[in-house]
Amino acid sequence: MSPARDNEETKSMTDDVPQLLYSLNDAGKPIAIIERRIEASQAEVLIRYPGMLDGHLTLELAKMVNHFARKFQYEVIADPAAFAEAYRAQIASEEPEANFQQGNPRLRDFGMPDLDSIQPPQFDGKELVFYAKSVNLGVPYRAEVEIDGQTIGKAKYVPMQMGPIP
Amino acid sequence: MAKTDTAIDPASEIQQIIKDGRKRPMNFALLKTKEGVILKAHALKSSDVMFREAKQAGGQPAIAITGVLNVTGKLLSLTSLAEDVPRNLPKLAKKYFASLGAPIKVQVTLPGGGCLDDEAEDEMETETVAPGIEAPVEAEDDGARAAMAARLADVKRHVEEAVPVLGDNAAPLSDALDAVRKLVDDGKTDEAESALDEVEEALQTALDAAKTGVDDGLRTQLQTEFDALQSGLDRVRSAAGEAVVRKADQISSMFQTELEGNLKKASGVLSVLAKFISTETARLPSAGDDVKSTPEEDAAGQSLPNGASGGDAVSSSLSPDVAPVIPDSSQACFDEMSSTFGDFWDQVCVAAPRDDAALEAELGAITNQRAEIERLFAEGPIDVPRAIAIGQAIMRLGNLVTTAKKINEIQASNPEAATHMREAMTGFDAELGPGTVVTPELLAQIEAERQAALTAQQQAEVHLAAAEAMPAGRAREAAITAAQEEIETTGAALEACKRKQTAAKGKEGLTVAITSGPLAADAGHPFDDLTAAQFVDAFRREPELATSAIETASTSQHPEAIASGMGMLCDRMEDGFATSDGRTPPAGFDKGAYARNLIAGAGAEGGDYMADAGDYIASGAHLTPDPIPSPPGANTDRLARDRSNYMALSVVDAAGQIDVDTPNAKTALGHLRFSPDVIDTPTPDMNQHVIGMCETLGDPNNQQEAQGILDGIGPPEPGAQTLLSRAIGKPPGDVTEDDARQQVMASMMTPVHQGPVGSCFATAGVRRMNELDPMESMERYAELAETGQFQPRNGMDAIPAVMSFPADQDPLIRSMEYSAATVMAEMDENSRNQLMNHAWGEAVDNLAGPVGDLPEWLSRGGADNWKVDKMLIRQTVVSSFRIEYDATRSTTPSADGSSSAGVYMLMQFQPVNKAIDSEADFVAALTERVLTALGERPGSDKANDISAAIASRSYLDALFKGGHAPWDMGGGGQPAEADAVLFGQEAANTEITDNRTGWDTLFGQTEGARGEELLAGLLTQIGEGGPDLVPVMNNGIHAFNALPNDPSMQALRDGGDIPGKIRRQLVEPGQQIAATTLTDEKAIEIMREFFISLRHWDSAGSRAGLINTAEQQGPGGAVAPPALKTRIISVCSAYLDALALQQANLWVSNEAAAGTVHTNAERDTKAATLRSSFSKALEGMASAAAVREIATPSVTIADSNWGDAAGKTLFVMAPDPMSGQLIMWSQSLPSGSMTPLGEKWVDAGWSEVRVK
Repeated sequence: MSPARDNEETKSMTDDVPQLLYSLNDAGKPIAIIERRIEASQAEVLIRYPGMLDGHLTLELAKMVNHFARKFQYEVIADPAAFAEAYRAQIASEEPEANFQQGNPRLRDFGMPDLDSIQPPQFDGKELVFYAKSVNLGVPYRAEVEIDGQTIGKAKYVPMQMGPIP
Repeated sequence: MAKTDTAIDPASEIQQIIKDGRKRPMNFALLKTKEGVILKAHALKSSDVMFREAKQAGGQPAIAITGVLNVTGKLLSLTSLAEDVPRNLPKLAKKYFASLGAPIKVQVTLPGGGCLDDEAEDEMETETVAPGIEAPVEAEDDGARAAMAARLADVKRHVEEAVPVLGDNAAPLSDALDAVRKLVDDGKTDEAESALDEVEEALQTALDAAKTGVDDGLRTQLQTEFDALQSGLDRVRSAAGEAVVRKADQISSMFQTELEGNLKKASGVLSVLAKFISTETARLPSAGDDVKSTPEEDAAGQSLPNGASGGDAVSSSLSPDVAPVIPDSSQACFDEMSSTFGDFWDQVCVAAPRDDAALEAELGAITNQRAEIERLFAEGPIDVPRAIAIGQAIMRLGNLVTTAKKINEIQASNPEAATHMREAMTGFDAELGPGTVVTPELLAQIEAERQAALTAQQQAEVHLAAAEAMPAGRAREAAITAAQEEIETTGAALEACKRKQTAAKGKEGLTVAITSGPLAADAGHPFDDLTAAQFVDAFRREPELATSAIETASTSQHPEAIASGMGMLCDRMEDGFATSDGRTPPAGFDKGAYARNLIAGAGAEGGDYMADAGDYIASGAHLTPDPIPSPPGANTDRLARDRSNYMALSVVDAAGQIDVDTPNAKTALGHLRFSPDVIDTPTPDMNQHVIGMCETLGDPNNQQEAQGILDGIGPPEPGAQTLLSRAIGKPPGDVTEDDARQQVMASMMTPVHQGPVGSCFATAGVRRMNELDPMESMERYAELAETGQFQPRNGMDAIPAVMSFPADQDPLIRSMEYSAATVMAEMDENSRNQLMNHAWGEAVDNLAGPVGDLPEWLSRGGADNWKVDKMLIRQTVVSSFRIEYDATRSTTPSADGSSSAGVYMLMQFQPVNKAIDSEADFVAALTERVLTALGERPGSDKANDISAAIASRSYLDALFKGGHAPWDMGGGGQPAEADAVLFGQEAANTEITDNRTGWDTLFGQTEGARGEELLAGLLTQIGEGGPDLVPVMNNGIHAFNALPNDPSMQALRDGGDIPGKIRRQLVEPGQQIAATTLTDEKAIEIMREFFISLRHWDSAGSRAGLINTAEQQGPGGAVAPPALKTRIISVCSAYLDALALQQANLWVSNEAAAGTVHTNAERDTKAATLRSSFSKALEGMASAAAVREIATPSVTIADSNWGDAAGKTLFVMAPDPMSGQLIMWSQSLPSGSMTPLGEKWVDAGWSEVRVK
């Protein structure tokens, strides 16, 4: 990354929603791309956007934490209502009596989570709590990560408990 | 033939012996007694019998020799069985024969090769002379003259009798006789003898010439009569069933053969043919109707008299109004027997060893039957009734000899069983009559007799009741007495009928068993001697059960376990399965069905199953109605679920303690193994598992560990409640921790098998854990039952437990299997993910030219734009594509070995949902995604450069990895990932054999050679001393567990020289099998088995006619297995043509429905391809049929994962009898049936999954 360009961008972006994309570098490690131009690590992003730790950019913070913790394995659920609606629609579209098929998971393979309990990313004390959809499975996980100042802890992903499909 | 009746004068007897001896060898006994020399000889009776007859005629002998007699020209040869023959015996015998008017030279051949003759003795006057045999020379001369005079008179009489036939041609013969008379009168007996021989020869020549003229007239007449039958014959051929037509052709052919030889027989055959045509034409529909006869009518057409060879249990019956074709004389009959049975005929014409009562009885019956035939022939002229009687007697003799021959073939390998067979057959014949051929008609007749006897007995009971109802008094007492006597009489009659029926069924069943069934000498899966003997004994008591038992045992791995219980089962059949205190099951109990189910259980479980069953029955536990209930029609999964739950409840007491030794637990295990209601729908593989698990939990250490796991299960989480609710039968919210514990124990009682969808790599791991470390399995079950989540052991995040499987399947086992498979699909190490990671890496890096070489076009602020652009492209493509498994798409070979379809697909989700299944699709999709990632407008120069780069051959070739590209990802398993997910172990595939697909064509490597290489690789790479199950895979086909410690594998490994042992123990025996001509019975049986499979394959029956036609063509002669396979495919040619065309037409229709129209030429090309494939399938069926019928060595190499509670499938290596090559088979247990897996299974590269 170019330090010169970095300095140019820092001040102007602090009060705005960060323009971040997430990808992998040549070594396969997670990285962020600022405004489609600048490669950045998690720490560099926080330096560029210190407001992400203020609590009003929890979604962006969750997305960053999620990517640096699990790469593309999960997608942060930003809109629980939309997720719930899509989830129910997907369940309804799946054949109820179909068997499990390896490599082709369906939501019905796992059951119905308590969709109403899914919340947008938010802090619970020092813990950032967010829900994320498993990209491959489609099911929601509850993720928790402790954020202490500039230190972001190790994220923990736990699948939501499943109830019967109505 | 020689008469042995002592009333016959000695001269005639000697002359008859000499005459018969010219025709064939005879057994003889020559004795010197006080009465003189006694010679007895017979073609059929043994020399021992001859000795007894001679002794009876002449008293105690001073000299006696026995052996075989032959007459050649003027020499009577006696081959002695003993070496110590007095040297003057030939001379004494010669003198004696001459004294009786039968001058002939005598020579005795000794066992050691020495030879004594009458002349040599003349030169050795000093040799010891046998005491009491001193015939004077004068008497010899007188005797010779008298004998010659007698012979002259005899020949003269023959010449005079021939005059009406020979006319003037007889005159020279009379003149010649006058000259002989003169020589005799002159004492020139030797010259007279030679002259008389010439006269006799001339007489025979003249008679033959005259007879030819007579025969020609008769032949012409018979041919005319035959021609007259042609219209009827044509009618039969055109309208009757094929079996009837075949029979008509057989009779016609027989007539033509006899017409050139025995005109008398030809006449008889013509009568039969006329009668047959008359009968069959009467059955035919009216003219013009081409309806064929029914199979039953066809079968009827196969039952015509069949004489000397009639030893088959399903042979003919004799019609009272059709005379059978019988030989001219008893001797001719025996000649035919000799011709039919060859050397064995001579064997049954000797006396049995005195210490073998069974053999003595067998041979005695044959001797007696021969005598009976002689008696019948001697009774007088042969009319139709007597011809029938003789025909029946011949059939009985044929039956006796055939049976004896079959048993004799078994003698060498199973001597004890052979003795039991002889005793059984003698016993059957004691009830039925010697040599009775059991036919359906006979069985029906006996059944009718039994019914009549039963009715009579019931009537007697009625009479008794009526008598007892009479007023008291003498009349009543008399009536009661009479009725009781009637009951006794009718009861005895009924018992006699039952004995007869048992004997008939026993003989029928045992005959089939020793002829072409599991007890035959060449049975495909021979029993040991004791086992066979025990089965034979059962035929004498419960023949139908015995038949069922040997059929089950013939493919079972534990035939001895079945046989050992046959005595007990026969006892229980007799007492109605009574308990030790006499209690029996309620009315309606099906004894036979229960016994057969116990037999199946013993065959599956082995060991002491039958003894334990006997104890179970004696205890009365079998009287407990339906102890483990399941719904009517429950499938195997449901049965397993109900039974595992039952066992789970039985091995945990009220306090929650695991104890497999309580009476309750033991009774439960008894019910599982032996209850009539349970084993009516058996679950043998589950039973085996439960027995093993009870042994495991019976170990105190295991019990303690299991108890800890069980006690540690807390209240189930909602996901666990959901997972368990269906199996427990409660709403999810009501599922408790006790329910979770019960389910964990139930899962411990359930064997692991691969589910109905492909997940072989996961199943193999779960199955291995279950077998090798059941306590670890219990831990995982407990974890699932409490959390409702599956926790991978490789550090990946848990996933919600998969629960989408049928309700009857075990929730914990199946969820563990499917959940593990789901995690494996997510792993970075997954081969598909590796493939895509490689592809994306190459896809991005190789765009450096069109993208990175022109940084000024990007102009976003610096030289590192290409680096960022790569990340943008990566972000876009990774977010836009995903790998999914499409179970509906075909892959070759199949992805998991048991599924017929299923491949991994690259799916695009942004900006459209689309399956990427072609290179063109991939190029288009990637181009669009790259341009989007870079924000490049399509059509720009840069966009065109990018498009051209992506479409270039070099760019696309770089995306391949492991033979696969993103648009062609194939199927296959990931056993190494399974180790990581299930065991937390880092494992890697270690090659056992490399991929050889297609080597046949390139290098001529055969399937058999590859099979040898593979087996050697398995034996050397997976050494002994390791675990019983070792994960292996044949790449792209299946993942499963090798069984390196199977006894058959160890036998090949022990002592080294594995390749040599493979050749000696498997390859060379296979080659020998393939090179050996099959018996007719065996070839027919293999074809029968093949067509059973083919009909099963053609389950809709749409080509039944073609199959029937193919089967009726038969093996086509004595052939070795490879030729039989060729024959089978050949006779199925029309079937294959029809099937291929029908399937090709179906393909055309489907294609047309999908919008693609094909020409007839394309259809025919498709049909040719399909035909080749179907033909290959039929070859496999033929091999499967052959391996069932031919004893073949095999070695068990692996457990397949496949199966359910009722059975499992193993992989074995065994020679293909049809080719002799060592190939790979699947073997189903408990049935034992084997199916060739195909060359691809051994050609694929094989790997062992080894922990790093």
